[in-house]
Parts: sequence; structure tokens; C-alpha cells
Amino acid sequence: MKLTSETKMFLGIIIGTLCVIGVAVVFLSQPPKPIEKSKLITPTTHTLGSAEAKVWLVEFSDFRCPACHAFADAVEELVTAHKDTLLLAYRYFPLPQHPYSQKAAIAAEAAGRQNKFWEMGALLFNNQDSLSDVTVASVAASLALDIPKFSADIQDPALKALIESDVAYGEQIRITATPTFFLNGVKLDVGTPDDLKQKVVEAINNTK
Amino acid sequence: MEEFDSMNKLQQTTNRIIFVLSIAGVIMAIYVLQSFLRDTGIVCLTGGGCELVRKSPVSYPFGIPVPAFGLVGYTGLAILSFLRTTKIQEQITRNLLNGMLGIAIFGVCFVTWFTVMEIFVIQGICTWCAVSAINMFVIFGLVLASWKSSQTLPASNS
Repeated sequence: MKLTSETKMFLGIIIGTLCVIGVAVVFLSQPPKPIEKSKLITPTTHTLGSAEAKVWLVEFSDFRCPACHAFADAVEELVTAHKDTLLLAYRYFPLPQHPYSQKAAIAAEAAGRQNKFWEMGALLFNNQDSLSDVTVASVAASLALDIPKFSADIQDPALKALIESDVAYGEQIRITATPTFFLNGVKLDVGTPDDLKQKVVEAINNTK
Repeated sequence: MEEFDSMNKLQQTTNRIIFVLSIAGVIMAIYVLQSFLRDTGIVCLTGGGCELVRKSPVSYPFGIPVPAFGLVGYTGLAILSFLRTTKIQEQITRNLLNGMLGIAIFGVCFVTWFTVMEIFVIQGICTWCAVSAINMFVIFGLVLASWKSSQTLPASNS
């Protein structure tokens, strides 16, 4: 076998590629830096559990996302079981491919103005396949919300701006899917609700 | 020993493009594979499609992550197209092209199957898989053209 000038050029490309892959491997091997709590949980973020808890879980979620619905029970179980040792925060990340997801987020935020954010969120998840203005109105009525105030709040541009600022921040920290969880500022990669429960419980046990 | 300067100008250009596309495929496959193995997110232009695909059992045929198939296929294509640039025996160089055609045929069948799975079973499209599928189809077209051309290429001794 003889090396031609073409072979040498190909060899150069192979060596260059290997160098690029080597640099990328080193770069990707770096452990991610935790994000500060104050950035992930802002004054407008809805939270559940203990504000003093050493373990804090932030969820970026979409009320129209089936996976978020699948994780919702696990999240609720975690907060119920560890209400003194865990702080849960909910951030909006309505995905553009899900119809009505932004409006659902606005409805949840409007319910939040009447201290019914979590209740509204649970009902939005339970009705996620049939969300519409009619469904949201019916859900709002079932929560005994002040309907005129709720209807006025839904039209408030500040609510839409808040949702959009959550999305913008999510994109800034490279969120690409929902649900995305951050445990004590570190992005989690969890395939199932049981994975999530296991990681959160481990973190809680480590603080004891 | 009979050696064969295997490629005319057109074949040489085609082989260069196949090689570059194969290297691009290797890089994409490594990026996606490391995400599968390390359980980390993938930068995705199609929203959450990449994550849906990564977390689906369909993406692990026989327990092997899909990008591993891509990595092996593209590496094979890159190695064979590299070897074609050397001066070797006529029969070997023809076998190299046959080998490339075999890999490319398997590649297009595989990416077609996986794209169907993405659309109808996973219901999410991964940008990298889509780009890789297009890449494999282009490589297949080029290899096929090169193979057809080689069937009419007269043997020459050097």
C-alpha cells in the first residue's frame, strides 16, 4: 500500500478531527457548575415546602406536556413526604409546539394571584388533553375563584411577560425539554418519576 | 503485484465528499452517543424532540444506543474511503467500494426505520437524527454513483 498525496490529505483531516474530538471530550467532561438559588428561585416563583430547606428542587414545566403530568404525582409525593426538608419551585416553560400551553401558564399565574396556583396547576395537568378557554373557565369556577378578577388578570400583559421571562431564562440556561429539574442548582437527568424521587431522597438523606 | 490507481477525477471528488460527510457523521454520532451514555441533555433545534428520542426504549435496539450504530457505520465509511485513496490492488479497491455500498445500504435502511419510529412511535424528532439521516442518504447516493461509475471504469496498471 502506497500513500498518495490524497491519502496524506485525508490523514490530515483524520488527525484534525481527532484533535477536535479530544478537546470536546475534555470540555464535556467538566462537571456542571450549580446555578445560584437566587437565580432559579426568584421572588415571583411559586414555591411549596420549607423556605429554609437545605434541599431545593426547581422544575421547569409545561401544563400541556404529558411527561410533566407523569412527573406531577412524584413531585407532589416528595413535597408531602418531606415538607420540612424540601423546597419545591415551579418555573414556566410552555413549549411552542403545545397548543394552549402559554395560555394555561397564564391561567395558573392568574389563579396564583388568588393563592390557588398549585390547585390550578393540578387541574390543568388533569385536563391537559382538552385545555381551552371553556375548560379553564370551568376549572376556575370549580376552584371558587373570583371569576371577574381571574378574567381580568388573564388579560394582564404582566402575566404574559412573567411567563416569557421564565422561558427566556430557561433558554439562557439551555433548557431544551420539559420537565427539567434542578436539584440544589444542578440540572438533573431523570428518565422516570422514580429516578427523580430517588435522587431527591438521596440529597435529603445526605443533609441529615 | 498489480496495483490499481482506482479513481478518475470524478470518483476522486466523490470519494472526498463521502469522506468529509462520514467524518461529520462520526462527530455527530459521538456527540449524541456521549449524551446517551452520560444521561445528559442534547442541544436540539426541534424543542424537546432529542430528549424524547433519547429517553425512548425504541432508541436502544438490542440494548445498543442508536448513535452507536451511526458511529460504527460512519467510521467504517470513513476508513474505507480513506483506504481508497491509497494505491492498492485492483480487486481490493473494488472490494472497498463494495463494502462502502453495503454499509450505505444498511445505513439508509436503518435511518429510514428509525425516522419512521421517531414520527409514529416516539412522536418526537431529534435534529441530529434527522441531519444524520439526510447525511446517510447523500452518502448512499454518492457511493451508488461511484459504484456504478466503477463498473464501467477500465482497469489500469501502474
